[in-house]
Amino acid sequence: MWAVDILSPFIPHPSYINNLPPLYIMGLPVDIMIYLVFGILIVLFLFKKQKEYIKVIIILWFIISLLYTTQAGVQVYAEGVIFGGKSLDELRNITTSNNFYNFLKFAQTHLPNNEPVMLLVPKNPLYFSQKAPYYLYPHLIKNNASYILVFNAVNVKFNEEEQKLIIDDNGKVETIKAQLLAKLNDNEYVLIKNKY
Amino acid sequence: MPIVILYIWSIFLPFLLGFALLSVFSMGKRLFTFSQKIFLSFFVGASIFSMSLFLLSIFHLKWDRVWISILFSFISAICFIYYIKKINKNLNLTIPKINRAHLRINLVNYLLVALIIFKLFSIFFIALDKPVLNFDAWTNWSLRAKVFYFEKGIPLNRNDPYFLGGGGHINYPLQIPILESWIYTSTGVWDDKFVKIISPLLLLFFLIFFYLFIYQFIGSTKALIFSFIFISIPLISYHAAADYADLPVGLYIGIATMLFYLYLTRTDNRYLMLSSLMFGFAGWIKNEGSFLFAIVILVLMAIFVRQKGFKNIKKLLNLRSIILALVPGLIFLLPWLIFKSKLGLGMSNLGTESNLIGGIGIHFEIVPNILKNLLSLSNFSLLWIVAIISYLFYQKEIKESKLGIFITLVFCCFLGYIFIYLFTDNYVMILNDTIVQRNLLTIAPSIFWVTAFIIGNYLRNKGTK
Repeated sequence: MWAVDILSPFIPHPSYINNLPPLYIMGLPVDIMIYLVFGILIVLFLFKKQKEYIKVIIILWFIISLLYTTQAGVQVYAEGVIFGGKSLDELRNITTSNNFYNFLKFAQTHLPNNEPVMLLVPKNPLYFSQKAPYYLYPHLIKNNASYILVFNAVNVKFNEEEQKLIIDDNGKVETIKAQLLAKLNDNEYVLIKNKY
Repeated sequence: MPIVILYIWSIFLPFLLGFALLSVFSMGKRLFTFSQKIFLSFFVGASIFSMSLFLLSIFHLKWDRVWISILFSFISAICFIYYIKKINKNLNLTIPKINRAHLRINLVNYLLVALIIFKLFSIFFIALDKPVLNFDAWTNWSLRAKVFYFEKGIPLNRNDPYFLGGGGHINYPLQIPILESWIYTSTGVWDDKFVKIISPLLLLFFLIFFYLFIYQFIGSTKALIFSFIFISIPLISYHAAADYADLPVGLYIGIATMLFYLYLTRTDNRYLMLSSLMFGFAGWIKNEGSFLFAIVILVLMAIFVRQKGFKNIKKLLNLRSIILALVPGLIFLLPWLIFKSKLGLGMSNLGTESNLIGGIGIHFEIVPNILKNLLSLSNFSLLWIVAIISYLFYQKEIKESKLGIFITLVFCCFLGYIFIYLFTDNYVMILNDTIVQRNLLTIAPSIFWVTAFIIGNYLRNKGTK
């Protein structure tokens, strides 16, 4: 059980950049165990004035560092399995949620050079609208652009026969006349606005 | 040309420039050992190289690997010729011998070196096995790098939608995106996997410089133990693989404070000037660098004016030394600061305007979050606890080794952050837990070496190997 706790590699998650998940041993958070040990040591520090106890603290720190190093080793193995032998494009797709990268790449092949695009993606999480500019460059994201990229957007429907895109934004319905330029699947496609 | 050579060249050129400039700078009385100079070179070269490319962009020169390579190789060559002529009249081109005194050869040290190598390997592997993954990495740094690469320079027209590379936080400094873009330009490939090598490389060079700096005071085994502990600090190794700018800022400031310590112990003004430059370089990576630079100068001025305490360094802290601590870094940063003020880009993370006035008020609601962040061990392991214990219980060692001023400096830097959190709109980033640990990362390397120094020194005096 403890081995699973310590050796479980954490799957790379963007929010870990701000706060890493705590380490657990036998289901108990390591933080609490360390504070218990420190409580005892600090009492000894204060009452016995034994500065040598710092050695114990450094040994404890060293052991914790070994645990983290072991965890890193397991992560290397796990990431090697996930990412090893893949092309750069495949890796970009794996590290971008829901095949979003593949869709953007598909869309780019159908867009004229440097043409701005309107993006209809799920509003939550912000991830999709924030990551798109990185992969879509040099295409700018603009709300009134002639080209529309639709990717799993909620409350968005395209009627191919009538050439109408219907956007329901919390009851505020907007209709845009457009025709299909390219389609990856039913929820992922590229449109071009009709001029008249 | 084989692409591997181009990849190597993209890293080697800034290194070469840094080594050449450092060689000229450290002429005369010996400033660094050969190894120290090697591991400091990339820090110096990366900053000066990227600032030069920024300045050249003002003249609308299109970036191209040929002329950039020729220009910086030429500058490096001139520096080397000058160095050889001035210093080494009996030209001796043998490679300097590695000083084996750096490392006492025994089984424990071998094991420690093996652990360090393994940990470094894991950091490099985790960084380089996948493309840019984290949020700020692509919104801030890598989008800009991509834009600079495809535009063959920095878009400096305010009306350009990709002004300064676009993305979020347009007022962030440009060292990281320029370096990444140079790697793309040099190789001719938009490879957002390899560019992540910058942070692990900086960490590697910092680690060896840290070891070379500290082993002479505390012995090689203890220096190796602390080196291993340092790279095993979870948030440090995570950031090293994540292509963010907070860790590079922390590493530059860590080097700056070590150089400042060398100034206090060896009284050579060049250490002080280089320390100042390192603070300036940190300001060219992220706004936090300039902020910490300003705090350090203010604290030094306050100590100089009050002239109380710090008896053992009083003679070294005069007006001249404060000017030397300020001017080189400020001169380096000046073009960027002028550029920013001309375009009204501001310093705040939350927008182009300063939010100091807009968010005025005391935001005590952040206190529980700050405490929670400080008490969590999952990011910095035992660093804060050990640091506090060493500062409280080892006063004698601190006085003997002139480290009191560093504790004052890092504590004031921490207070500076707290001030920003308490009194400005930045408090929102405390409430959503997005900034405390990353800001602490900018001072963590400095706190670590001071702590390692105090404890290592104490153990050495006690006769522990």
